[in-house]
Amino acid sequence: MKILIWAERKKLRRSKIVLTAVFATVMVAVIVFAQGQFVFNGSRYVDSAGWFMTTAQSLATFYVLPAVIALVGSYMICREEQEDTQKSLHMIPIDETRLTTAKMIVLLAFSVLIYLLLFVITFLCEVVLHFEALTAAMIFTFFKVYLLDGIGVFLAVAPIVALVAWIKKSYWLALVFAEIYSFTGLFVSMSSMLKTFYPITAAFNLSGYYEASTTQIIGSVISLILCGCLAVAILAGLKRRTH
Amino acid sequence: MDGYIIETRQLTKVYGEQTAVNNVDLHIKPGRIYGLLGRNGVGKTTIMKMVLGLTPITSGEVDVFGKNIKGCEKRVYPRIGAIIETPGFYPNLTGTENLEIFAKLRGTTCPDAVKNALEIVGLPYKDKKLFSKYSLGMKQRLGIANAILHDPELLILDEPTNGLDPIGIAEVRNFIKDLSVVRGKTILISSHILSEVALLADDIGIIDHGVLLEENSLEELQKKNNKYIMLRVSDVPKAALILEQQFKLKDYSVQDDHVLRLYDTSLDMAAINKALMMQDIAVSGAQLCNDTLEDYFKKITGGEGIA
Repeated sequence: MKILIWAERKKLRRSKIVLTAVFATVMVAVIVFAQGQFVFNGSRYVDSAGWFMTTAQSLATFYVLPAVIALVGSYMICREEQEDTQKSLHMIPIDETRLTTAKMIVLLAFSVLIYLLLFVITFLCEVVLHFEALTAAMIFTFFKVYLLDGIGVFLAVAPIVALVAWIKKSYWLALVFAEIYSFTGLFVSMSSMLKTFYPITAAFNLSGYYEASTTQIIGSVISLILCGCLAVAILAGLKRRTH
Repeated sequence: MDGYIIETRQLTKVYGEQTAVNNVDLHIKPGRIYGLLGRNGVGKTTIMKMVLGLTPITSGEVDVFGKNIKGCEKRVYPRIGAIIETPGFYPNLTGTENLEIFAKLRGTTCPDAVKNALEIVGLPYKDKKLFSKYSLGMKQRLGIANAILHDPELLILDEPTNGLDPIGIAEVRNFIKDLSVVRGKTILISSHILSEVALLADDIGIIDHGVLLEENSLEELQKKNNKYIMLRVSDVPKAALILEQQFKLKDYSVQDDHVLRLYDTSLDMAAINKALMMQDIAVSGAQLCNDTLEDYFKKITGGEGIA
């Protein structure tokens, strides 16, 4: 498995999709920063310490990052078929399920890293703008929110990635599914019941972005675990089909 | 198993209502190069895919290394190197990076495996050129490098000289020959280029419309080719009449208005020449000829020639 993970990491080198994902993350930060220039009650949003870090991760999650993560994940899976490397891998032989599992592990790492990249960008801006207002506790809390967002969003989009592996269609389909899925989270977040269980908003309950009771957090964790289980079930089905 | 590295029995593949491969019995001996010869689309790749377990077999059996391939693919694969159709690689990586991935996934222990394989096929090691920028010939070479990376006992190469320039073809031919002669590898190679197969293979299987028409050593096939005397004359009908009446010759054929083929090579050419001259028939040439492999291919496929 270690070698498979190493290979998956290596395969992403110079990948345009990964570069696009990084660019999208940077653009989210830029757009949110631009949005922070609007004045409310006599001061700019961005003048409030912590506003940039808070807003960037939520808007990124509702509009951009789940789609980007699903796109990268399904690209990693579909490329073996599209680039005709499946035959060579099959003849090594590489077990398709183990290969997909390795891809999912790399995707989890990618999801966490992309959120941490957003964290680093927003953190550096906050340091420049409000160095004195920042506390270690505040920074740690945001770090935890971004880290858990990365894990939560990965679990939330995992079934979409697994589904694309199953149907073996264009990876752009995953982008469309995930975009609709994450955007719906905006409306779901208006209901406290639904936002506990809807996977995208459940990631916010898990990370601590939403103020939630222990019961709600447990509900969200269960929802995300179920997403993970659904992805595993689809991948297990894929293994049966391969055999 | 009779000591064959690959043996197929009544191998058949049917796609819908079309029979792509029909009751093929291949026998590939160890340490030899077997050329599967046939025009494009006659089932060569399908046979190779079935031998490798890459496509389901409709009926028949395939033994590789003396064991039925069905269910044993994973144990057999490490002993095989193959290129089937166009070799696929990751376009965003260089040739070396691509091979490093496959070498590591294969668990290749030799630290210089990638370097050696690239050297054999004449590609530079640690070159910065991405696979997406490779020419067709370079892609083909990289595919062969990937097939030989883990030093397999058996190589299955589907049209390995596809897309190569004439010098490249000669280089690939030489190293394939070396792999067999020097390193004792067994090689199954498919091609639609007869001259390639004739220069490379020890044994040849001729396939047409999914049917294996002939399987023999190159030596035997060459022996089977007819010898004849090609006679170039000014008047073919008159010459034919003289040959029939004076020499009681029946075994001949008319090629065109001026050429006859006499299949009895023991004839006294001086006497024939004299007889024709006496009847005012000019003889501009008489030559002992051999049928080429292409003639033989035409004859047994009952159709057009091959490149």
